[in-house]
Amino acid sequence: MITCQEAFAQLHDYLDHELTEAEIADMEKHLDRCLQCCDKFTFERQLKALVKKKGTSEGLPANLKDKILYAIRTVDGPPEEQR
Amino acid sequence: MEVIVDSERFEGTAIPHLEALYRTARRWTGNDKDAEDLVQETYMRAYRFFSQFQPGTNIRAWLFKIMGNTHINIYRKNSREGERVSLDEIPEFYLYQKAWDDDAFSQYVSPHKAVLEEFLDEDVLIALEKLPMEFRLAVVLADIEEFTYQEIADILECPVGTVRSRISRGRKLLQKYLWEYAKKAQFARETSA
Repeated sequence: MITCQEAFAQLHDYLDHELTEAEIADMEKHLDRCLQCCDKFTFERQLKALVKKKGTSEGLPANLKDKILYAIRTVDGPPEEQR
Repeated sequence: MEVIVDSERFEGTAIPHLEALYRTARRWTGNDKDAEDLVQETYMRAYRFFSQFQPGTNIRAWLFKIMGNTHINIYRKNSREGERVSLDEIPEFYLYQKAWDDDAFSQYVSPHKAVLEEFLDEDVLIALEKLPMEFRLAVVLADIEEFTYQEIADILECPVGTVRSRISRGRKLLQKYLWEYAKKAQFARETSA
């Protein structure tokens, strides 16, 4: 079984789904048996989820999509020339 | 005639990722105007190079890579961020431990859960934007866009090991900033009560 220190070293890889299946199995075996680590790792996962939630809460500025579409459609010349 | 077909195909493929690109640009640059400029420049470059995109490969990663390049170029031209932060003293699980060690938060059954409830949307966003550039770019791509380390390495053009270390160090620093906000919020509530 991996130690708490070994688990800590893999914290970010675990949160970011970068571990191999075997490493995940070892990690989860540890988390099943170590309440302290389980609590801390759960916290880190919740914090990552919170950052994602807050980071996706804003919409686009008005007109940005239109500005980009206009720029793309006119980059090769005025729109009427393409027709 | 070619042009019309191409721009339609480009729009259909690339425009659905506008929101993700914009919110990343917003965090990367820290303000609305630079974010808009960066996204517009990214789309113009992506359009210009669209013939190089391999259909069937990951368009989202391709667009982010273009934005990563564009950002690096603008950033090199415009500014130099000389900010040095010391990370050595920030231990893993910083925020969790602070909550448990704190007199006010330790009154709660789960101090660490109480801390997570203190943050306003803007606290988290401002904390992200306060991170030094190299950490900010990587943490945003990992936490918000959930790219793999390999994808982030491709977008930022650096080795995977560098991505890994920037993410872990960036997250620690983020926790340090967040703790400052949590204390402030908690202090404000105490003094107004």
